[in-house]
Amino acid sequence: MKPTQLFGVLATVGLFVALYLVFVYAHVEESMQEVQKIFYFHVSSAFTAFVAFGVTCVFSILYLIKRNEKYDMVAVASAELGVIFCTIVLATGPIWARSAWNTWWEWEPRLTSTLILWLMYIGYFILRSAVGDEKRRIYSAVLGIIAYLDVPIVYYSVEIWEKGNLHPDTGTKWSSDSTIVLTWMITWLALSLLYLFLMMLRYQTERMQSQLEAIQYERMG
Amino acid sequence: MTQNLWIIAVIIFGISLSALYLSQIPVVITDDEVFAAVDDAIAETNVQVDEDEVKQAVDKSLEILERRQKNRLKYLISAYFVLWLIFMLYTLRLVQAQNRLQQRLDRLETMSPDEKGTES
Repeated sequence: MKPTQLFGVLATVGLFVALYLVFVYAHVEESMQEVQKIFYFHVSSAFTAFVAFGVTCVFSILYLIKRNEKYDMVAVASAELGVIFCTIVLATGPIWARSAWNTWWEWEPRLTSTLILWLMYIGYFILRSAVGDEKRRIYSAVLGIIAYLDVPIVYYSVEIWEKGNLHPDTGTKWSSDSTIVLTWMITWLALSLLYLFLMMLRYQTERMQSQLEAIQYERMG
Repeated sequence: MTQNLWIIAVIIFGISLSALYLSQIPVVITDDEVFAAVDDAIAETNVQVDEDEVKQAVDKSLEILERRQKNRLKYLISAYFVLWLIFMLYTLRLVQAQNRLQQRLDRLETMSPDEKGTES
């Protein structure tokens, strides 16, 4: 079995288990009731996006040092997945907020900084499509590193700007209910496996694109 | 491969929705059960109360609770629907792009050098 297939199977099994735990095993939280079940995928997606952007940052630094095309491919693949997971955070957040806080959107620190993070990585892809080959890789690597600086800002935004927050601060204990904590951990694990699976698929696509460009370049030269 | 991924995604989505309904269906309490419970409560407390008023208040509060629960479920289902839609569309786009690139690479590999010159 190929590694991509292996991670595909593991991610599928992981998601099945996570969904079972979310809807059947985990107790219904007292204050927010059923809508709290959005939390498991919302928060896990946010953490997976942070990891994905972290991978982009590390491989962007490596690309700037070594100028190896493979590092750029990993960076761009991970950035795209980070955007996907961040989109899920931004899409599920307002649905939860509407039920829990009676508002779709509030310009509070964590929501605003997350939106800025998402927009910066959208900018990363606009930059890649707008600039020529070698410069494209260098510029996007620099942007990939700079954009990552927003991740700790998102995480600590509740502490940095103390007023007007709707999110709990980072030190808040989420729940004393072990079923809720275990379910969240398994869901994050399942999404991490899904990230690895999609990362492999995306990297393969990037490599094929590069091969095609090399053949076309060779023919023109 | 595209078809397999779609089948897997649809199965997961179907199971998640089924699990949601099986585990989260609002508990419906019938009027008879409400009246019996109110009667029992009044009998136990030995307090003089207007039974009809109490029953109306209980009925109303149950109605509000059920409505709130239905609203919460609506948001919960919407969130999981959006989440799954994003995953499915992204995976489909990725697999389609990969198939398209593979076809172009295969075509270029089977072409002779002269043919490659004309392929754009």
